[in-house]
Amino acid sequence: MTMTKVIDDREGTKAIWHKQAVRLRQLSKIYPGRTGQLTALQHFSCDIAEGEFAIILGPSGCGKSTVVRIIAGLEQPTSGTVLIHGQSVPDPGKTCSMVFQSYTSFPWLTVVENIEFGLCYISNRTKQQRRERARELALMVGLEKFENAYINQLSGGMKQRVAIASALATDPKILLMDEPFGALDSQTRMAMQEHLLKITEQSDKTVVFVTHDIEEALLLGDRIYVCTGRPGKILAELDVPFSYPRTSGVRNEKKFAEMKYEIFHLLRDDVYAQMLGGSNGRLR
Amino acid sequence: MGAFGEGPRHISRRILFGLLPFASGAIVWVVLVRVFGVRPVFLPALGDMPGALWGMFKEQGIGSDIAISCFRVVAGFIAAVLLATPLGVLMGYSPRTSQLFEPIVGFIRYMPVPVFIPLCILWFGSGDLEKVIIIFLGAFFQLTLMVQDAAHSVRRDFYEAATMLGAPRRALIFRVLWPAALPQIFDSYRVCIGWAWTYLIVAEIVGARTGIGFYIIKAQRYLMVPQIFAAMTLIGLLGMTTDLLLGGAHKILFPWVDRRN
Repeated sequence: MTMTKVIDDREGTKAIWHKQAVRLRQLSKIYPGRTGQLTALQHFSCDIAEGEFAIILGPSGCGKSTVVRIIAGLEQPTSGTVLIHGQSVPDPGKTCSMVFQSYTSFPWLTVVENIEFGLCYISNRTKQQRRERARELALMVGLEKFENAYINQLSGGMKQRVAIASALATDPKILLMDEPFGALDSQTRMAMQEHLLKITEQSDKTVVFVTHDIEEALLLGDRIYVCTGRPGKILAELDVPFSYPRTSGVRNEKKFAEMKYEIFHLLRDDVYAQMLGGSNGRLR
Repeated sequence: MGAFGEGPRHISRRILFGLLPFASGAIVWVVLVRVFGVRPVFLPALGDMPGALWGMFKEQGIGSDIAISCFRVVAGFIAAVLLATPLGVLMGYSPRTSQLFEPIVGFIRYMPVPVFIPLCILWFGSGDLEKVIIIFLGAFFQLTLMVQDAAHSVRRDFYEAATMLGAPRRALIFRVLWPAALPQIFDSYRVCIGWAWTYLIVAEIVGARTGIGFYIIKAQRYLMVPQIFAAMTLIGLLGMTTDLLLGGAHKILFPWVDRRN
């Protein structure tokens, strides 16, 4: 209850209100099912500031994907309010871009054609200008040598780099990432994390990044929203103290290990409960 | 890129392997005639076949029968493709269209093609139009359901990804569904043209005066057994050629399809 109170107090503070990229209030999402309703989210509230790299961290099944899908406009909350830059959720693809966990680059298009896909919807650029922009982005994600390759010829890490470039091509204000490195092997994942740090440090975009990986959260995030499942709600908000430019080296810092343990401790009961089946730790 | 081992050695071995069953068939044929003395009325000598084939082209004008049969198959097939493709795509995309048409398509699909012949002859006579309509009816309903399946199996997250890149709803069919489903749709065309040949022969066996199917019936009537075999071989060759052409076209049209999966 105190938590809600604190957030309600903030509502009056105009300065903060303006700088908010995403404001979620008392979100609930209930999926109807054959064997009964599934409450994926309950009273989920948080504020994500403009330019922040926000992490939504939680064990699988805590509804964190649902949160980004609601911000994206792909799903409607059952109740609660969502404000994007102070307004109701725009049509999908207008303000937010998204990188999915599954490889969603189109296999029938080449790398540049994929990156170019959304460009025709946002500006009056000529075909040649769109192609140039796509090639710039291919260079940025290090795929300049594979511009004309088809997606199925690429490795998983390369596929996700195409997806990131496609998402950035339309110059979104908010970049949503739903466990984008979840399907990659751990070495590739580390390389991709460093790469993403480099890309986002150069831009002022708001990023909402969903993950279950505590180290990934600490390495990438400015602020971590630790969630618990089912139904999903926020357990804690943590500021990540590591300064920029960041590299994988922060993993060696003492504070990193401390925070990693702190977060695990927060989630521990929840994870054990899930492992043993049933939301209360009882066997189903 | 593409399938592994496309070297010339590999190809020649493939052709050799593919010819082996033909060669064994020929050996069995010769043994049956020479060793077991099967009478020519049932099985003509293999050596008589080239002569029979030559005569069919030279004296009996099988060439024009082939041409007319090919015309019927292609016309019926194209009509089926032109109508089944948009209908199947819509049924695969929108559940409402599917609810509207699936029962009727599923109902007619189970009617064997020959049952349409009497009515078609009554309504359209026994000319080319009737043959084309029989092929169309045989192919259209099956093809619609196959196209629907191809369109329906497009991954949902592709639509979401396109939407998040700013594509409006109306763009999803042409920019996502169509290119994603086209290789599978093309595969169903390939299967469908095989059926079209079957329906053609069915149509040409009843109430026809031209075409390869009619030729076989005529040959049977006069006990021209070598000609029956030769005509069957011709149908096989025509079908196989079509299939090879379409298979080759698939590789050229869809270089991105990963055949290993």
